[in-house]
Amino acid sequence: MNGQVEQVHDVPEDDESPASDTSIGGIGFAALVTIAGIVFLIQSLQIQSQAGIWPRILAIALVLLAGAQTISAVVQRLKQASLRSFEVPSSRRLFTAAWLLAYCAAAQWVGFGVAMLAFVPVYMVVMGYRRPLWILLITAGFAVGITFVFDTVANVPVWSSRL
Amino acid sequence: MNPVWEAITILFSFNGLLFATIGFIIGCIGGAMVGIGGALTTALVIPFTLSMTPADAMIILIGIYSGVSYAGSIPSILINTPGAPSSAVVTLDGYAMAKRGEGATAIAISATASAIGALFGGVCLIIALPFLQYLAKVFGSPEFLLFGMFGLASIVAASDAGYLKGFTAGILGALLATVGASLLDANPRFTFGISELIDGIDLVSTMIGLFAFSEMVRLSRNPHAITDTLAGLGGMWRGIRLALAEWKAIVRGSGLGILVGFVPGEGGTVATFMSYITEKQLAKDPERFGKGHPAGIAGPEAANNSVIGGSLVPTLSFGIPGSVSTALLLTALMLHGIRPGPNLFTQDVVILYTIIGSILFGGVLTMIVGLSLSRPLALLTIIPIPVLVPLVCVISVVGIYAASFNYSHIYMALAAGVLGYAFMRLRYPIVAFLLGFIVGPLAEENFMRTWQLTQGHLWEVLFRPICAVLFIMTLLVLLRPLWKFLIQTRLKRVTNGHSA
Repeated sequence: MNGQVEQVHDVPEDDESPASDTSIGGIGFAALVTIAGIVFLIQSLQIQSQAGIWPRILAIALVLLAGAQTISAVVQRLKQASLRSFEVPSSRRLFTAAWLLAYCAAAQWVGFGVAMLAFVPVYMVVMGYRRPLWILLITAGFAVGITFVFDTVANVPVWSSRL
Repeated sequence: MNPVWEAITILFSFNGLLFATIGFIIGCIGGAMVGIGGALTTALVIPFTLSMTPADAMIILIGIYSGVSYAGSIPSILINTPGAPSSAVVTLDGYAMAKRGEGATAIAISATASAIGALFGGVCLIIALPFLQYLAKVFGSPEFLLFGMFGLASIVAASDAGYLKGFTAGILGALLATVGASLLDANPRFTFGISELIDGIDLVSTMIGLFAFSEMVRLSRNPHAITDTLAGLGGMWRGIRLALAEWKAIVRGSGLGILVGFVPGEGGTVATFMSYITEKQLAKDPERFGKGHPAGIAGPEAANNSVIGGSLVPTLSFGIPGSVSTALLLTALMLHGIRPGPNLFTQDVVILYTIIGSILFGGVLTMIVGLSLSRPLALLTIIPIPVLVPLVCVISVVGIYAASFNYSHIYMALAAGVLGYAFMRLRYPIVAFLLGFIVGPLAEENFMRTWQLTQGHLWEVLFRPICAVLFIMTLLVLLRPLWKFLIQTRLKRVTNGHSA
């Protein structure tokens, strides 16, 4: 051993490239799938009829595969380094996910259309689009578009609240 | 009425022509927009097709498939950024031509070769039809079960994610498909007390979550448009002439595309690269490849579009999709209550001919509509991401609601989006998950029938000839890394022998 310590980054510098299997995210996801497999297995054992056979086989296979993935990733990580950093996804991505969730929650109470009137322009502004007239035109044009396609053609209540 | 004639009547009715053209244009828009792609475009449109007749739905979806296959090459040629992985190889010679100010010429070569490739694929499907009809009839439950295993093994082996991740994704998909009322006794399974899960996990919302939400979150990192400038265009007619002069490359590419399309998992990307390598090896002037050789565009583009016909063979005859696009077509068929397999050849034969007719018509549309739209399509690549993301998100959310009028499905899609994003970041193959999720219920049904048939002694199915062949094929596919290693070792030895 040369005494040097290799640093493991949980998210590579180039955020477009895939995260490593040995990252916290990689291990966490594999562990989560293993736990899900165990939960399904326990539930399937409680099904007394033949309807439990197929999910039981799948759950066992999932626990074995995801478990193997988790263990191999943990072992590799232990071999690789002692210094570790943990990076969360970029703030732009977190905002997109959170804003989408907020839109879905709001749309249920105020309707798709009204929620959209806030969701679209605020998103554009926060993400750095700095053309007020275009923001206004795009939002208005899009509102007309979805009203025509969904409300008029597909009979989806775009502007009704409490869906 | 004769089913062929009935399909022709549907396809050439006002609605049929309109839906085919609309589908093709939507496909072109999705294909030309880097980051959107075919899977997302199809996933977004499927909810709208649920209120249509199955035939109209298939016409519009095949139109999208054709449009995406063609238009994915436009950003490859003009901005050196492939709209889809299968269009990556076209960047080599297409972008080289665009840099010389011959972008339109390269697009015309691509459109001509794509159209001929699509026609080849459609004709191949027609020729294969009687054989498929026979094959689908001799397939019993054990054969379907083993073909499902072969399909999953092929897709996992073809992905570069590794077997552990591939099978984990596939089995997770199949397991999540068991949520809800059981097929056997209608008792709810794995609902965890949530009444919304009794009907199972919704297919449309899963699809949109996996593809649309995860992709929008990924794209949102980029604050700009994909590109700011477009390379020069040039002469269209010259491109058509150049493509026709490369007819041998087109024929070879089409043949390769059809063959590769038959094998689940080996989609357009493999076919296009195989075609490119073949053309370069057979060319008298291989040094021109990568610098704007027409055969470097014509061969791969023909291969990419003939894959459509080839990949529909396992999808329609056995219900095993070979790619994400065919998985989504299969989803649409199932949402319309049509099950691929023997029934398709007897009860829903009009749909079958409509699909084939749509593929052939897609080839015609590529030439007429595709060429005339190439310039406006190229402009789509300069839409800023901060504008694109919220619009796609809103369309996705309202689309999910429109498909079922059930708001809980939107939350299912959000959960699927988280899963899709994790898959994307950690390189789990989404197509394996989707295959497991779609084919899971069918596999369970066939598994239970086989279980009852063999009274629990499942290995007895290996005495059935087709099952034995499928089992050996599955093993061979799974041994792919070994074959690759042996071939590479052999090649090294030969090369060393020559140099010595």
